[in-house]
This record gives sequence, C-alpha cells and structure tokens, in this order.
Amino acid sequence: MSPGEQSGAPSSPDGANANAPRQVVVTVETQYQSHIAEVCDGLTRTGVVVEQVMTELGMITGTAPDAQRLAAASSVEGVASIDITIEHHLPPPDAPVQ
Amino acid sequence: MAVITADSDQVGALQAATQDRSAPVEIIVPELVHHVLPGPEFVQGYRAGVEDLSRRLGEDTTEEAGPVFDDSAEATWGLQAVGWGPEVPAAAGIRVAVLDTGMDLEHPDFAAREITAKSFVEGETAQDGHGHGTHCVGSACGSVSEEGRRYGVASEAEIYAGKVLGDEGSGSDAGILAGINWAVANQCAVISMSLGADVREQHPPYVVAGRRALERGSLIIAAAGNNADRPGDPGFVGTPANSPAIMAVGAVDSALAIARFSARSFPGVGGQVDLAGPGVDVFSSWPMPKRYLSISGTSMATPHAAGVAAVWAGVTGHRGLELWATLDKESRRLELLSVDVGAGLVQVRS
Repeated sequence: MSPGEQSGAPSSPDGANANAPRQVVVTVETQYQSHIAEVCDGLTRTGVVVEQVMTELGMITGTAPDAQRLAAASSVEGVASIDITIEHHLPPPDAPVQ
Repeated sequence: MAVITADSDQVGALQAATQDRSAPVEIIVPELVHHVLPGPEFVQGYRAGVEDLSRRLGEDTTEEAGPVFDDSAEATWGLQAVGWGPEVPAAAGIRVAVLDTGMDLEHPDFAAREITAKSFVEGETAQDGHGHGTHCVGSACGSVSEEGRRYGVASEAEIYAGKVLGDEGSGSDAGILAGINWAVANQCAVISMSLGADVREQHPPYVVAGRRALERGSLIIAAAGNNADRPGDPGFVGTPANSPAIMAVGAVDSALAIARFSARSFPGVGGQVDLAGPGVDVFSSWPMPKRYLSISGTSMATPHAAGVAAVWAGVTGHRGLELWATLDKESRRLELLSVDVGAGLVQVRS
C-alpha cells in the first residue's frame, strides 16, 4: 500500500496529467465477491498494480499507470466501479477545532 | 387480546384478579375512545409565527439558555450529557474500532486495557504522533483520568485502534478502507471515524463500504464535518459521513446549542446529520507527556456516539441497522433543527 504517495493534485479526479499514475479503489460487484482473486487477475492483465485486496468489503486498491489503462480496467468482469482515491486531512494538533 | 363488556364494578374485581402472578391474564384496561386529532389552532400558529419573526429580526423572545452541563470532578460534561452514570454498563466484550491517527499505546490510562492496534499508513507504526486518535479513543472507550474524572463512555470495550491517518493528519481512501475491512473482519460492532473531506458529492467506495459493513454487523459512525461557520454559513455534511449507510454526527456545546462549526444536512439521501454528540471543549486523553487535552469538533462528538453505540450493542445484542435504529430511538430530542442534530443527542440509557 502506498497511501498518499502520489504527487500532483489527488483531490481533482480529472487531474490535468492523463499520463500520471493514479491510486484507485475498485469496487467488486456483489456476486463476484467470492471470486475476488479472479477480478484481481483481470485488473493485473490491464496493467493495474494491485496493492490491497479487501475481502470483507469486496474492494481492491491499486495503481493505474495512466488514464487509458484506468479506462480498460473498468470493463474487467466483476468490476462495479473504479474511483480515484481522495485525501483526508486533519487540522494540526494545536488547532482548537478538530 | 380480547374485548369484553363488563359492569363498572366488575372491572375493579377483574383488575384485582390479574395482580395474582399465576393468573393467565396480564392486564385489563378500560377501552379508550379515540378522536380525530384537531387541526392546528389559529392562535397557536399566530404565536409561533410571531416568535419566528422576532427571532429572525434578532429579538429572541425565548429565554437565553446558560450552560446546562459542566465538567465536574466525577465526569466530563459530555459524559453527563449522554446520560452516563456509574450504573451504566461499560460495553464489556464489545469491540470498538477507532480509525484515526492511531493511539498512544503507552498512555497510563489504558495500561490495563485490551488493545489491538494496526497501522495502515506506510512507514508508520500505530503509535499516535498527532494526538487526534488518542483523544477519540479516549471519548469512545476511555475510563477515568488521573484525578478520577470519567471521560470515556465504553470503558470496558475491546479497543481496535487503526491508524489510517499519518502523524501529519492525512490519509487516503486506501488506508481508510483497509481499516474498515480490518474492523469488519474482527467483528467490531462499532467503527468510529472522525475524519472526512469537505466534499459534498458522495464518494462511491464509502457508499458500498458502509452498506457492506452494516450487513456484516459493523456500524460506521462518522463526523458530519466542521465546515460550517454559523450563523452565516451552515456548511454541509462531507464524505464519508454523507454516505447513506454511514451515520453522521454533529456537535453540540455544553448548553446543548449547535456548535458554530458543525455541518448541516443537505437535501438528498445520505447528506443528513443523523445524531448529535458533545463536541465543544471536550476533555479526553492526549499522548504523553501531556496526558489530557480539551478540544472541539465533530471529531469529538463522533466517538461519544460510538461509545454509546457500544453500550447499546452490549445491552441489547443489536448489530448493524438494528443498532442504528436503537441509537435513533434512544436519543434525546433537542429543541434544535433536525437538519443540524438529526434525531437528537445520543443517550446511553432510556
């Protein structure tokens, strides 16, 4: 896993650089949850680097090398949706409102 | 049930007979006659209109409420506000996950506790290098301070401290979802998430994760967000709290008024605040050597709700959507807007 490692602006799903790698969350269709390993194989074949497999939630996180392979991954059998990850930030520890 | 006709003197004799515990009849009551409810009274409506108008003009006709609760030697104001008392069960055997900046694993207040900690942040251990996580674990699952002040709700719950935000306070979905998955796999009945992004749009992974967690008996409770600046700007519930299957918690102060920063519901499924919790000047644990700190935020209201949920999970055995309904049902109604506080202030007992 490599949360938060991507440079650029992860808060913008339509980030300017289509060739930049993007960290993604893949949601697996409910009926494919018990075959999540096969969905991973399908994603790998399209060029997505699988990082974590979350069997309870039926989700996979990974990195898509570019926009083209991200689009290809969304048509893999068993994939319900692919979303670019977003970042969450807390205020600094000395902020009065957290 | 049966409807019978009895003379008035017979009713008393029948009711007396049911006092005998061996009697097969549980209760006998006179039949009531119900009427169609009367429509709104004109005078009442007029008065409400006048009060509303004067409020809008800044001439509040209702009495100004002073502080209702105050930190005492025995308990924080927040614990008092959620109805905590020494007789309230402490959620023994219930697993509560707090997904945050980790936890100070050396904190003396938690020395005797059963804690499972795991980091989902690359290159960092579960040890809290920020403070936020230790504070949230304290409100949800802590016990008493060095001086004997109670500040945590579910003081006998099993703590699952998942580090999904780094020491700098940031993290991505990848770590947060991995943390949820870990909590669900470990059968945590409650997952407390005092985190979010000021993004109005629902984020699809949390919509699904919330639903699948709930189906497996894990209730996710998240902070509504601090993006309001009242009275001018009521803000909005951000992601992940705006996911339909994730509870969103707003913050009230010790006078039970809505906190200045607490985000408001927006139209649409999932965008609503579900409950409110104590979230202003909240005393709780902080990494050593500081040990304690009082801070504010919907981040602080959320673990109160999580702790309360853990207590109800222990008392009722309810999980998932049933536990959600229990929290709603038991919460204390407030004279505030439901778009700000949902069903009201979480309560640990009926």
